[in-house]
Amino acid sequence: MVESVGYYPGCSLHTSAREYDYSSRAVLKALGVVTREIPDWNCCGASSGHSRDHTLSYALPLRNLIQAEEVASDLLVPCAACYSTLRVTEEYLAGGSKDARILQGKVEKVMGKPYQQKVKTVHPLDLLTRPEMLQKIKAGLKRRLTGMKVAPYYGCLLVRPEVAAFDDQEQPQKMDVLLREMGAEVVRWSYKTECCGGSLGVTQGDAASPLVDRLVAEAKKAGAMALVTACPLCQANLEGRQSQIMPVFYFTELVGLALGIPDSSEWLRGHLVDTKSALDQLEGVISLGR
Amino acid sequence: MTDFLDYLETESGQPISRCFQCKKCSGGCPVSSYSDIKAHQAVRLGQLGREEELISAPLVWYCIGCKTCQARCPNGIDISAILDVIKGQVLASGGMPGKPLPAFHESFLASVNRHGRVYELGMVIGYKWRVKRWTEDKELGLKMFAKGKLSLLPHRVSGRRQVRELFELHKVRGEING
Ligand code: SF4
Ligand code: SF4
Ligand code: SF4
Ligand code: SF4
Repeated sequence: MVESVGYYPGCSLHTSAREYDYSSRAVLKALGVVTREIPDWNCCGASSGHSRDHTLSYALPLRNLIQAEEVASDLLVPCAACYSTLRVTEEYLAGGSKDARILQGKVEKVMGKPYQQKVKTVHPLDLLTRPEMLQKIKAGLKRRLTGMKVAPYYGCLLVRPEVAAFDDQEQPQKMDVLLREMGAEVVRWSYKTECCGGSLGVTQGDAASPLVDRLVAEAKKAGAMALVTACPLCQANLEGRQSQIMPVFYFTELVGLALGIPDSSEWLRGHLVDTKSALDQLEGVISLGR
Repeated sequence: MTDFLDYLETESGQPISRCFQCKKCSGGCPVSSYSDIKAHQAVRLGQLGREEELISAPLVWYCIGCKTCQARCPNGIDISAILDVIKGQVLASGGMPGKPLPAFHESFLASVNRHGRVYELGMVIGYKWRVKRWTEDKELGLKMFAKGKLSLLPHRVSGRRQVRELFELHKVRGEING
């Protein structure tokens, strides 16, 4: 039974993905989980860390893991890129290779604190789909998402690499299950784990847009009126790089909506693509009293 | 075995010599249709020790580390890890100024190094300055700014001295204690 968890927002949730931050914290609070932000966290470096050097790509996340040990034994990380990075680092150190032990020693020296391998990195989608949490969500439903046809999008970093995967790598199901429990209609499509282009969105508009457009077109073809993500980078890319108009929700926003959290309409205001088209369907159903 | 292959295998931790060119990686790679050589060809260049061709291949910078290749490869080869070694080599030698993708990584890391966190607007400006592309993306940028999605002030980590030291760690000689 989780009651208090460490929380690592990462840079995106503090800036461009505030609604993911607010909705994650609010949903967890509503479900009785206390989130404690880890003190003085730093950027985990993600893919750019890797491109500089090996040491850096593990050292930046390791500082966060050490900081997290002061707070709780589970570390919740909503950004899929950060989640993957922290999880991989955790495993690397647990592996106890010679290189890993050397690195650990160096970072401990810089920080003046030991790393005790006490913290487990967890993604909120993993936490919210554990049986006891699903039970709580079901019990707390204020508004079923009936009428909402959505395509769950997992992207890459929730299922790759293998050590970070908490769901089936080719056919993940957890978001599908959660959305269905809340009454949404989940469409079948085969692009769930296809990559959206990630940081190419910033640097190479020409390469990223066709990837995004194909995903949106496929979701539409499958009958979806909205996409649902669990990663701020996917969300920003899908929203900002499509030439069509399809809303892109964070799964936590929909949980918030279903639990009747008052702020949920506030979060949706921050979106670049208006979410109204998808919500109208929902509202219609509600006013019919179903 | 060539020296270069040896070096690549050690640095990336990937069993490059085990690749039998089945091309499953390229089939799943999202960027292979945009880049010159495909994922399996990069592995082949590594096997053959053709260092210069690999260094100058745009695929190195297009790869987004999605690791679809590794998930599909019968030998579990993570091609992004191989390409990361090349990226590191290029960035360390200060090469390719003004090329969009290296500039992005440099701006990103510069921001982390300076502030401890990514200062988004600073990063975007730094990046645009490095590649001299001010106008492109202005519209999306302005839209995001209006929605409060780009922050103006750097978020600083009070332990940023520590973060800076982490950036220098690769120069420090390590020992195993305990
Ligand atoms: S990887 Fe991205 S989201 Fe995560 S901490 Fe770094 S900049 Fe922020
Ligand atoms: S942004 Fe794209 S590359 Fe990054 S995790 Fe999401 S799907 Fe993968
Ligand atoms: S999938 Fe693996 S074995 Fe097949 S070509 Fe790619 S790297 Fe080589
Ligand atoms: S990690 Fe890189 S090489 Fe591998 S599939 Fe993804 S983009 Fe292609």
